[in-house]
Amino acid sequence: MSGLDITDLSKHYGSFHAVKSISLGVLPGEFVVMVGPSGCGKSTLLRMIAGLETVDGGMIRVGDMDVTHAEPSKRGVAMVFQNYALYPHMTVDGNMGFGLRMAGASREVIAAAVSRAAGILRIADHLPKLPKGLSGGQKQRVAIGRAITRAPKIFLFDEPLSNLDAELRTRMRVELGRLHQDLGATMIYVTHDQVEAMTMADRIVVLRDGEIEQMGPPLDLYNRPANRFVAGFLGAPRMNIVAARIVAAEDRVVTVEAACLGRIPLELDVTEGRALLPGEPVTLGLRPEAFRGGDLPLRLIVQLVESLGRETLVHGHPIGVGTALGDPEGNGGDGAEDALVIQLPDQQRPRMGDAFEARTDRRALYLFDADGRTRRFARVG
Amino acid sequence: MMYETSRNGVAGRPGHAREHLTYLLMLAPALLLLGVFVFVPVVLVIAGSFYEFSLTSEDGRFVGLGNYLRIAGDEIFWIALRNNIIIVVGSVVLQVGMGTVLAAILDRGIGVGRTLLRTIIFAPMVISSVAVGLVWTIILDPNVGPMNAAVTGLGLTPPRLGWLGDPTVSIWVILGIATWQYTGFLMVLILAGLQSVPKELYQAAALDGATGLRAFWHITLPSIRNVLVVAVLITTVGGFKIFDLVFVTTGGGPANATQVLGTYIYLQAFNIGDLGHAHAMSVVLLMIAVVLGWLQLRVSRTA
Amino acid sequence: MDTRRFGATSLVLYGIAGLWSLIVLIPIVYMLMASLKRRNEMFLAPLDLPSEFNLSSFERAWGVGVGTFMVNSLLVTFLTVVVIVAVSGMAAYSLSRMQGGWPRFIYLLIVAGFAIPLQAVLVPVFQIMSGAGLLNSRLALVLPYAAYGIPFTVILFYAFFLDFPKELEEAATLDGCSRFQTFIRIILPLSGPAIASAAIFQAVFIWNEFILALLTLTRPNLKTLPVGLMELRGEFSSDWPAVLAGLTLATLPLLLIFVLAQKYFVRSLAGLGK
Repeated sequence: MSGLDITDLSKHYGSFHAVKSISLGVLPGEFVVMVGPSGCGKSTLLRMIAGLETVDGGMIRVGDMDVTHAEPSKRGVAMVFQNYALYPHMTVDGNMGFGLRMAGASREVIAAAVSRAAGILRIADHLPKLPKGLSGGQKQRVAIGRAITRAPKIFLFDEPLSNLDAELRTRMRVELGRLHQDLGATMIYVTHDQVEAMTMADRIVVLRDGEIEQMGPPLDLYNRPANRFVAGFLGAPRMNIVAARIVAAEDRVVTVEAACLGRIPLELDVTEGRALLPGEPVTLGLRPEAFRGGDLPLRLIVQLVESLGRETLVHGHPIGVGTALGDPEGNGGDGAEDALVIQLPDQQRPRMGDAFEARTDRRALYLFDADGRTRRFARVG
Repeated sequence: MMYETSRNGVAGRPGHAREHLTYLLMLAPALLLLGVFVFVPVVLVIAGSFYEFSLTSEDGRFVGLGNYLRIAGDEIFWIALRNNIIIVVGSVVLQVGMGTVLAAILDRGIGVGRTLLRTIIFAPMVISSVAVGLVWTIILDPNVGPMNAAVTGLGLTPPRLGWLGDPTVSIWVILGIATWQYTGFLMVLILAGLQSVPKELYQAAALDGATGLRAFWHITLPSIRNVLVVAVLITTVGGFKIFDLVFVTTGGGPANATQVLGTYIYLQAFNIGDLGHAHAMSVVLLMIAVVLGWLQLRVSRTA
Repeated sequence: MDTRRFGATSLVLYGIAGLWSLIVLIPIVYMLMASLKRRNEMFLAPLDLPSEFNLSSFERAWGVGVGTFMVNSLLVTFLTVVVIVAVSGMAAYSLSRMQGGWPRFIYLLIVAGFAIPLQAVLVPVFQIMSGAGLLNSRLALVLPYAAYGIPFTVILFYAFFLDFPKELEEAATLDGCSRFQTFIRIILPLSGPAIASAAIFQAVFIWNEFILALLTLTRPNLKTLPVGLMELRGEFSSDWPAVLAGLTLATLPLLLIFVLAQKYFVRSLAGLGK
């Protein structure tokens, strides 16, 4: 079992800087999920680790081997592709054993490795079949099995579940987690799905524009996002962002005013860097699930109600906010949005167009400065 | 497991330099064959067209544009070119025209028997032009051929010198034989184009009141414009390249009446041995082919 | 739609297609029928059916060597198609995977070769063959035929390879395949349809090619069918049934193959329009 060390890795496509001097260490046996919007460089980074893209600068080490310029097959990595990439003209058996065959392993060694992997993934029955005879979930199992057969030092996953339907995706998520525990292998997993990241990762790496925004255990990132981007990326429905303004500032406490929430004094968690001055535009963050009562009333005009049975999502336009902020686009500048989403833990049926009052608590508020950096985190528990 | 590390900074994937070599080696045979049998001969023909020499003599005499002046003054060259143009225009009208009609019928006009009809109509395409020419020579033979018997039976008079022996009709007869052979091919070509027209288009047109011939005119033809252009170009190139059919049926006769560029180049080069003359005509043929090929490239999606 | 009018339209359309089919069929049927006739029947009753089932003309035609011609054609066709597919496949794969401007230029150069007609460069091709001492050898046909088959096949394969899922190749790279191994083990086995299309298209052309075969092969035991058929006519100046029997022997096998596999022929040759 080996870890992975990436130092100052960078990649250009012409003038486009896809990966900007990224450094990242992965511990042996760790499950790291890289998330980010499309174009953030997460796939490029993974493909550089695999050797499918050249490295323009920096170094990649698997265990204590420098593999920066090594052949893909000589790096001790195996990759599971989004569209499975099973060889259609080979049986499941042939697909899984192909890597070992190319490495010149003996027939017995290949057979043993294939049957071990097939056992782990419970696909032994499918070994003589061609990929076209398999369902999507089975194909993905075979693709994972192909990786296991090669007994790599590191497993790489490139959005492996995004071609599956929702139910299967949930099942495979659980199964991958179990597989990671069973194999104890180092796994690096790329996805744009924050649910996959939250549920499977030992550690999440959030990327944007070729740079790491933040990394850490899932709940740390969820509870203490370093900036508004990470805050918005993790959690569904997304965190509500409300435009506000500093009206008073003391040493560690500022008073902010938002059109829909009034004036609220907030204690800052992060005071390093630029001081927050009165008059500065800021944004407040509120998770949809933060409306479970409290000292802050929020009134909105209901625009849409999503009844999910176990919960109800109320989309609405806060009363007192809107084009008043002078933003015809209606997103209140600074990434604040016009509509809010409130998640209610039960079944309620507010009517569209009616006013609806929800209550939240100032303890649940995040505060982001004009640069998007988090200055105050919600109090959890 | 063995680790290979290289310090190349080349763009692309790791091991790029070696891959580049692989690619070049994989390209080499094709380029070699094309070079030796296509591009070098083209250069030789163009260069040779400025010299006067024969098949047997190695060293030629530089004559500048002399060969071109000679073909310009060669009556038979103009007959040959005229015949090529007759074949080209006739083929475009008859083969592309009939091919379009048949393709439209097979695409949407009829239900049962499409595959059978398509198979029959396409079949002559897989017969060699030599065999086609020979069969038709026998059919059109004034003594043993059934054509004369059939025409006489209908109360008409066949040409006195024979279908292929009468200089006024023979080139048209050859055009007819070519049409017999190639119409099926054009039908299939156009049919492929027709079948890629989305069916929803016809349903939408039907709702707008366009069915039958009107749908064909307003929906079908515009949709397959590119395919038709390609069909016309392929037919045109084929018409300029025609050789086998003429060689087998008339050999360019009677009295050069059916001479085409292909047969006349062959005659000048291999029977008369006047290579300069043959080369100059080859260059004309080459230029026609290249211009048409360039046009085809522009309309087809392979560009 | 009025069903009666529909019926009439349909009848006209069937009439046109049926008439053309008849025009196509009559010469072929005539060839079959007349090859069974006696020589004097040809003159006396050109339109009648043969009076008896008589295969003697086939024996005479076979005696001239139609069998040998056929074997020669088969050999040349098979060899050339293998060369074309292999050489064009490799070239198209390289061109479709190389980065940069000059592979694009090479591709256009190869495409340009598609426009060059063999008829226009017959003399130098003949001289090159003669200079290389290849006259009266099968290579004299195989090599130029291959060269003239390459451009279209490269165009066909190039488009096919561009659409090829790149993850399969990446998986192969991770599994330890070199570029060439990837081509042999992954790309080629999955290119069946493209290979079949290319092979059929080229086979029809090569099987029927006449002018180069006429020039380069003069030894009877090497002649291909089209050249052999001309031989046949020379041999039997007035034995028309024998000539027609030879023609039947020469055309029937390919016609039968065509009828059985017409779907693939049609698909392959229609590819020219794309």
